[in-house]
Amino acid sequence: MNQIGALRQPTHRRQAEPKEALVVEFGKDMEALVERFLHRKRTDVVALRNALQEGDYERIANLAHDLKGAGGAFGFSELSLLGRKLMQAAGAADGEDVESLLERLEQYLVRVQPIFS
Amino acid sequence: MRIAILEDDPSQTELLAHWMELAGHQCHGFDRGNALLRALEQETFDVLVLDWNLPDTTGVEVLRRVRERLRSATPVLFVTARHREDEVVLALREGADDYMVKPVRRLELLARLEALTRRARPRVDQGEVLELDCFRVDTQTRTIFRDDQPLELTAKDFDLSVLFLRNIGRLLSRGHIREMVWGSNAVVTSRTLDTHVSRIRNKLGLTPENSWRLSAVYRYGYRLEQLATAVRKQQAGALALGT
Repeated sequence: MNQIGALRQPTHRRQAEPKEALVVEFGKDMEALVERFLHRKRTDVVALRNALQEGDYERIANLAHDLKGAGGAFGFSELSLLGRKLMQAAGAADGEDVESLLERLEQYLVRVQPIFS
Repeated sequence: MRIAILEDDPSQTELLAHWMELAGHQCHGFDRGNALLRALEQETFDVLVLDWNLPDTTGVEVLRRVRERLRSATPVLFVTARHREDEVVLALREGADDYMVKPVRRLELLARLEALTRRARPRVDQGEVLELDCFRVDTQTRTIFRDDQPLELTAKDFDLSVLFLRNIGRLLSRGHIREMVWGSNAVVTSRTLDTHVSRIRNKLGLTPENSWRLSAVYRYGYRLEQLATAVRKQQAGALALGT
């Protein structure tokens, strides 16, 4: 059991190179979970885009709800914040706002770089 | 502990289960309320962790059915994003034992789970030595004494005995017993389980004449009961009188 690794809170720091990666640190025991989580969220972006095309704001709100909850639980505070804003935009059926937030979400998921130690 | 997690987001289920398993617990994830309710007709858990928003029902509805229809007193911890006071109050009034708003913190979650089970079974979790009637269980040396005499038990017999002694009066499903004694990956036949139960019944003397009853519930599991002291004295008196 890796108690020390498990107890470590994720920490964030910006790196100048390459491409302004946003590094998030985790304990080694979290590697598989975090990789799966990020993969799911990247898949969710596709689902969110499809839902936006169909005007399915309820679906957007549900996916955003999961993003908000799990983002916070895993320590990705930016994801949690984007999830909250997406829920609000979906609640207001504001397609432009949803579109803009989806772009921010996509950019974040490209830039985020978890490291495990 | 054997813990059921009702949560429809797989990432959150995995994270909660990971934390709990690192702390030595066995976890079972359910992504639908009805799946958990079906499982509860055949299985027992030490704690239920419930989310509120679910695709097929709500955590509160699951809780109502657990308390009313299944008549289960299993401790329930809500872990949900719902944070309004009226929502917390509703869950607690429907029978939740504790409530946490997401995102939850790992150590706090584990401490609350431990507190729930401590409250549910206050009599026995008092450090490394458990004293119950004529039994003394030293969990450090893994020895059980009956009337101060150490009993000869195999490792599995010891684990099985402690499981029952820590859950007096509770019906434990076969799956629950298997998992807590043999582990989640072990293949254990019903016959093996029955043989071990029969053996500890004999070795510990868990029989009505000793004021204990370790009984099977058909196709479900086993329950250890401590019979009332008055009954025991009555029986002793009757025996002394030769009746």
